Amino acid sequence: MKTLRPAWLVALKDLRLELRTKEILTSTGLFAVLVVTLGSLAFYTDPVSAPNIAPGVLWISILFCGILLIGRSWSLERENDAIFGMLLAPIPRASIYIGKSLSALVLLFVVELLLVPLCLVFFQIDPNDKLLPLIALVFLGSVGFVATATLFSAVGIRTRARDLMLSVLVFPLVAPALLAAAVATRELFAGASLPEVLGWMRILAAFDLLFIGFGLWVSRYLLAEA
Amino acid sequence: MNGARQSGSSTLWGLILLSTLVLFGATLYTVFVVAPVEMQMGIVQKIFYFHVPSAYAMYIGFGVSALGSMVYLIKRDPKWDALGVAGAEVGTLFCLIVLLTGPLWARKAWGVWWTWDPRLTTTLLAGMIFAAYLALRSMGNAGEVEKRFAAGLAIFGLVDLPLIHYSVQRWRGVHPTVITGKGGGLESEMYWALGLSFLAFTGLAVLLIWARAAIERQRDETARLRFELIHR
Repeated sequence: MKTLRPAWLVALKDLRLELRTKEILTSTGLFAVLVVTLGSLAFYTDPVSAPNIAPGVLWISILFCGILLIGRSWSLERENDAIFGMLLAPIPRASIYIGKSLSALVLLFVVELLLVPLCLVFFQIDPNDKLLPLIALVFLGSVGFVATATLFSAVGIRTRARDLMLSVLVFPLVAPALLAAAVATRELFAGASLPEVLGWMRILAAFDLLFIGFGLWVSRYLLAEA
Repeated sequence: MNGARQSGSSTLWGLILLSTLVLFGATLYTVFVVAPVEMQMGIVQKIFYFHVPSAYAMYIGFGVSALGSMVYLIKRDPKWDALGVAGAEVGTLFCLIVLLTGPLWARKAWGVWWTWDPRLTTTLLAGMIFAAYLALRSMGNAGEVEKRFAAGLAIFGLVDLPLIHYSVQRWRGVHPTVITGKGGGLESEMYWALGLSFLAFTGLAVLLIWARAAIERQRDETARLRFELIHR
């Protein structure tokens, strides 16, 4: 409770800020449309091979949009040294981490609401009976990615060359999540049964829990004032 | 007191250096003279005696790096940070050796230079993670924030590796499992060569990490002294 309430307030602050400026959502949303369009242009050949390629395009787009979104979200804290206000507040460091992750996750979901249907339309995939597992996969994949990227951008904003460094650091780390999510989505589109996809979901869930738990522990050390 | 400790540790250093040199001599002799040439692979199979121990030395390096980083985050003692840097650098070096020798073997054994096998993928991504670590540390002299950031990365990186391995394994797998519970298909001389090579590479990894950590501490100390001199 002592951690969760401040976390909720931090997230609320971010979301309120976004609601008023709509800066992150417009830039990331446009970027999402662009990446999916370019991905489809580059990879689409025919409706038969489309279900094999779509998951890759989908997940690469999610990663790119996510890293842009999280980078923006933290650079807001850097401007006017807003981060110090948060660090000075009498709340646990883990709350800052959870709060920023939460707000980034909500924003990423909004972008995905645009991104996923667009990808399905461009690759002519009928999601009908696969909608629930697809949502579950997107959810699990996004959680793990946001948990990792938020932690590293938290420290990264105060280093030089942050934006480039962030992607160079985070992408290899989230590679297993990307692989699990992309392969599971591909199997799903190819008509795999639920138990087969469930195995991948378990890996994703393990990745999520591991990195959230680790983030909670390390945020105490990583977010300390230098 | 300090001097006595220093001479003690330099004796140990010399001892490890000497035994590593002897071990490397013995390894080379066993590998190229004693161990038979493998029937199908021919002389290319000898890569194996350097490839596998390098992979193992890579994990020593990354493990040491993560350990040093973890203690550094908790204790904030620059000594442990130096160990983290040393481990990452030596680990990346061995990773590079693995990634260079691997394809040479693979081309002969599987007919391709690269394949998406769990161990190959894990090694490649481990190399990327720790290359990012080194890039982060090489940007000017790293401040406190960069050090902590890099430490977090090293720990996360190591935790990540089993996950990468497992998920790629589920995806596909062709790597030869030479060392299995049953003992695999090796001649006994080959075992000797491999065992000696493992020992030699352990010694090499320890020496390199030790030396690199000492340099890192001296570099840190020099920077501190220079800072004091300027701001006196």
